[in-house]
Amino acid sequence: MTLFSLGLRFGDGEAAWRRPVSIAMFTVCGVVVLFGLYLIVGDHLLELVGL
Amino acid sequence: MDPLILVALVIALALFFDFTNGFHDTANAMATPIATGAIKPKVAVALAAVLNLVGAFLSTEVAKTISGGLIREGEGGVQIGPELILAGLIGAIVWNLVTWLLGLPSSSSHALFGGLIGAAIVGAGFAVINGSVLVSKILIPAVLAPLTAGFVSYIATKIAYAVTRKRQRNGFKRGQVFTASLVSLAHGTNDAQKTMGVITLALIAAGFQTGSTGPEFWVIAACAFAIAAGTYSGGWRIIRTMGRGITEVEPAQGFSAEAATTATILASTHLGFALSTTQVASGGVIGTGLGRKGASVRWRTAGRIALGWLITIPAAGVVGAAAALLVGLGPGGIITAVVLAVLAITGIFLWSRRSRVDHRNLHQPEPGVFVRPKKKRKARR
Repeated sequence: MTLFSLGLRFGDGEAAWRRPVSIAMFTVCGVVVLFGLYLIVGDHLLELVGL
Repeated sequence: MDPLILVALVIALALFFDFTNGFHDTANAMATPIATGAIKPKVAVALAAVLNLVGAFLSTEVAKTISGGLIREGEGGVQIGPELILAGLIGAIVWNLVTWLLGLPSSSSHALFGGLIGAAIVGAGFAVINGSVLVSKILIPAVLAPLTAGFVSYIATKIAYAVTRKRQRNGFKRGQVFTASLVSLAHGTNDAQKTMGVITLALIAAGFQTGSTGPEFWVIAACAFAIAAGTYSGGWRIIRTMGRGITEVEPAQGFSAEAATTATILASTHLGFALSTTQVASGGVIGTGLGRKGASVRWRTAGRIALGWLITIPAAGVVGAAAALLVGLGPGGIITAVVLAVLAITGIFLWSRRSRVDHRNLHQPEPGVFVRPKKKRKARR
């Protein structure tokens, strides 16, 4: 929530540095979500595909 | 009655329950993005259906709780027969459809547990219910999960409004598509498994599967497709209640509620808690209503929903128990119970057509209407 909100906050403005920082926030947010999903269902998923 | 025919009947009813579970719970994921205009209603239900299908394959912990925990196993295996599971399913389906007709986001899971418990008590006595599993895996999560989701949603809403400015909050609509998708995925991991658990329980009870084992792959696949089909058909009455009835939802709030719902459901699935995704999602919506300054929660609607939660297990239990009395009379009783259930289902569907609610007459706001309050105020003056 914090990362996504910061992504929106930095994405809105004139300064050149804001856009890359915003993209970085959204990217880290996505990675954190994927890692969270992996922690919860990753074992079963690996078992399902036979790894 | 031939055990094979009986098990086939149980599987057919279980898959129908799964279908009703799907359309009853579409609202959990898609009510708020539809309410904020983040996604078109038909696209929303199609997306939810696909993700429920995928989610159903991702875990089997909850299915194991139902097939190997709620009903005790004795020396001769599971202590209830497939006919009592059939009676429990009748209780669950009838109650689920009644609450759908009323537009109440009640718990399909609790309807299932209530139906099974009622049928098991009448058919085999109180001793067959595993009290510790009932309390630790079902009743305690039933109380804690909505509170947790509500609290997380409240905090998330506070963060969203503290960090972003008004004109930036339209961006949460895009985020809502992702969080709503995650809720659908989480719903598939938790709810589809309840039916898998029931079918597995019936297979074990009839001696077609060994005890203390998880669901077979064909059971997982059948349940996944049934819940996906149900989700695609869309429970528009409940979407209307959850999206507009509890509180006016802005995109940032929808995002917060769905993020909290996903986190709570997935963590519970991992722990094997068979919680109600409906209760979690409703808790999330109430939490976000409390978290936004100036927003209000319609406590009367919330109270109606809470009443639905309280009476779901006993009400489904009573229907399940009545069906169990009938099936106890033998093959004639089983056929009578099924015929009565089909008549009740048909009656509810016909009654629902008197005031039809679907994606065409579901109120959907103009994009951005919630994030332009100043313009709205001027118009009122």
